[in-house]
Amino acid sequence: MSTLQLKSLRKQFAPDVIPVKDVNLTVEDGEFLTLLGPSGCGKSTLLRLIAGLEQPTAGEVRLGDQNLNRVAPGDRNMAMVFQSYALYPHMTVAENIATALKLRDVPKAEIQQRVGSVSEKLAITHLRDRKPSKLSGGQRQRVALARALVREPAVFLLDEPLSNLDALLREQVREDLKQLFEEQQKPVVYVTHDQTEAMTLSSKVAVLLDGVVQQLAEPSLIYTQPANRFVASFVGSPQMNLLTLKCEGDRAQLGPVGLPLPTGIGSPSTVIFGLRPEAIRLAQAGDSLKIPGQVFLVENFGREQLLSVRVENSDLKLRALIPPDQHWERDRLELTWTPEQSHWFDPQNEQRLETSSAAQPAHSSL
Amino acid sequence: MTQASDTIRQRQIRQGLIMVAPAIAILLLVFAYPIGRAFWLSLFTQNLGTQLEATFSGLSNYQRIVGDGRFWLTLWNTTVFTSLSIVTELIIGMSFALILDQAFRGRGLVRTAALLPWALPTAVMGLAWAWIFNDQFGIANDLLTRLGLISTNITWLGDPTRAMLALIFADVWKTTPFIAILLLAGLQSISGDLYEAHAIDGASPWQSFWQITLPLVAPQMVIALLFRFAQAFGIFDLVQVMTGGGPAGATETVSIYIYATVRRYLDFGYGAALVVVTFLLLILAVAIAAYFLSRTRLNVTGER
Repeated sequence: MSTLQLKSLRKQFAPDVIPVKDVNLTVEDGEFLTLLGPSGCGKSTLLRLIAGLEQPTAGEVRLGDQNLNRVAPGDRNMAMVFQSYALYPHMTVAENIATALKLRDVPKAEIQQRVGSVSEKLAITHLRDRKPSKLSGGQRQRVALARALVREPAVFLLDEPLSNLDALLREQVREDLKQLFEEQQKPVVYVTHDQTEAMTLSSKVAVLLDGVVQQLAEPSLIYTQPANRFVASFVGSPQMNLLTLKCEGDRAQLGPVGLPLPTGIGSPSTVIFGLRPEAIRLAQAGDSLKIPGQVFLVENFGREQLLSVRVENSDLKLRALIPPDQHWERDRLELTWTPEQSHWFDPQNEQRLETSSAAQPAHSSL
Repeated sequence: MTQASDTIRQRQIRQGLIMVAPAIAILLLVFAYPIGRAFWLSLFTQNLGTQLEATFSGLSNYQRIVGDGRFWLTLWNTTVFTSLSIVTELIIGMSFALILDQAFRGRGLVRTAALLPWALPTAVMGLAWAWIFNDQFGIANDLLTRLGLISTNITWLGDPTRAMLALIFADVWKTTPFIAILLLAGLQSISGDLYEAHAIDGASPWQSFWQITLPLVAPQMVIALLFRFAQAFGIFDLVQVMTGGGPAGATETVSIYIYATVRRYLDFGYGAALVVVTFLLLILAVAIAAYFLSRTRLNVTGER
C-alpha cells in the first residue's frame, strides 16, 4: 500500500524562474494521474521532483508516511520512463532491463526469471540480445517500459512516453499502456501535453499552467466543467469557442441575439461565454434559439466538418462541428445549442462562474 | 532505366577519380616515396667506410640490428617512456575532463587555460623543464628543500631513473590537456538522461562512472591512446633538449639513436634499416589499437 503525496511543493531556479509553485496532489494505489499542460508549464519539473532528480525549494514529497525529500532517486523505489527512453546504448536489451536489479544485488536466477517474464509480457523476448540502436521506436519504448516494470516499484513515473512514436503506433501503445498499468495497481504519474492521452489513460488529470494546478479532476469533469478559461481552451479539440460578450441586465449580447445569463452569477457588465464546437448544431424550425451567421471557412475532417461562422451584425466568430451529410447555405445559416452546454467565465479572474442548478430560462430571439 | 543510372554512376566515379587525383599524387610523393626509398636504402651499406658510396649488401643491415644492444636499449627506453607517460596522461586527463564537464562559473576560461601547456612549443617548454630540474639552480630542488623533504640537492637529470622520470613528468605536463579535451568531447556526447535513469535504477555516482561513463567514452580513449602512442614513440625534441639522451644513454629513445646514426655517424644505410624496423613496429602497434577500436565501436553502437 502506498500513497504518493505532494505537499505545497515548490521549485525555484532563480528569482523569476519558478517552474513549480505550491502544488498539492495525492495519488493512491491504482490511480493514474496525468499532469497535462503546454510546454513550460512545469509538468516535467514536477515529475523530476517526485523522482528525486531535483530538490524541492519548499514542500514535501511523501510516499506512504515517509518524507522523501532527503532520499536519493535510487532509494525511492520509483521507476521512471523517460521521453528519450534513456536506454543504455552499450548494453543489450536484456542487460538494460536487468540493470536496476543487478544494482540492487538481486540473485542471478531471480534476475533471469524476472527479466524473462517481463520480456514475455511486453513481447520483446526475441530482442533480448540486441543493442538499442538496432530497435525501432516502438521496440525501444517497450524496452523502456520493461525496465520500469521489472523493478516492481512502488510508483511509476512516465515522462511523455508516447511522444516519439508515430500517430498510428501511439494509439495502439496507448491501449497497451492502459491495460498494463491497470494490472499494476500502483500509483502512476504520467506527464503529457497531449489531451487525448490524458483523457483516455487517466483516472485523474491535473491541468498545469505556470507551475500551478489549474484543475484537478477526473477526465470527464475536465471536459464538461473546466475550472477556468485556460482549462476550457486547452482541453478539447477543436478548441472551445470563447467569446467576451457585453451584458445588459440578465442577457449577454451575441450578435443580434441576447443570451439569457444563467441564474446565480448576478448581472456582470461583461462575461466570457464558452461553447464547444461539438455542442453546436444547425437550427431547425422548432428551435427557440437561433444565431444567424455567415460561413467563411469550411474544414472537412471526413468524419465531420468544422464550420467557421461569423455571427451576423458583429465580428464574433463561432466554430461549429457539423455532420458531413448536412447541408447549409453559405451566406446565411442559423446555429443552435442546448443552453446547459454553455460555459460562463468571469472576465477578470477567468474562473468558471458556477451556475445554480436551477433550469436556465429558455433563450429567445430579439 | 538501368542503363541511364549506370551511366550516371560511371560519370560520378570518373568525376570522383579526377577530384581525388591531386590528393593521391601528394600522398604518393610525401608518404609512399620516402617510405619506399627508406626500404630501398636499408638494403645498402652507405657510410664513411664505403666513402659514402652505396654498395648493395642485402639484409646485412638487419642482421646488424639483431645484435645491436644499443638499439634494443633505446627501444626499451622508448617503451618505458611511452607506456608510463600515456597511462599517467590518460588518468589525469580523464579527471581533468570530468571536472571540465561539470557546469561551473568561468568554465570557458578554465578550459582555455588548461590547453595552454599543449599549445607551447615543445623545445621551449623542454628548456624550461631542464632548468626546473637543474641540480644547482632548479626550482624543483629549491621547493623540496624549503619543504624540508630533502637536505642535499638531487641530480635530477644526471641519474638514469630520475632523468627518465623528469622526462615523463614534463611530457605529462604538456600533453595531458590534449587528452583531457579529447575525452571531454566524448563525455559531452553522453546524454544526461542516461545518468538520471541510472541514478533512478539505484546506481551510485561511482557505479555510474564505471558502467556508463567509461564504456561510452571508450572510443575517445582509444583514439587518444592511438594519437599519444604514435607521438610518444617518436619523441625527439623533448629528450634532445632536456637530456640529449643521457646520462649514458639512459634516456636515449629510438628517434634520438636514429638521428645520431644518420647525422652524426653518417651511416645512412643502417639508419634506414633502423627506420624501417621502427616503422614496422609502429604499424603493428597501431594495427592492434585499431582492432580494439573497431571492437569498442561494436560495443557502443547506438544513440549517443
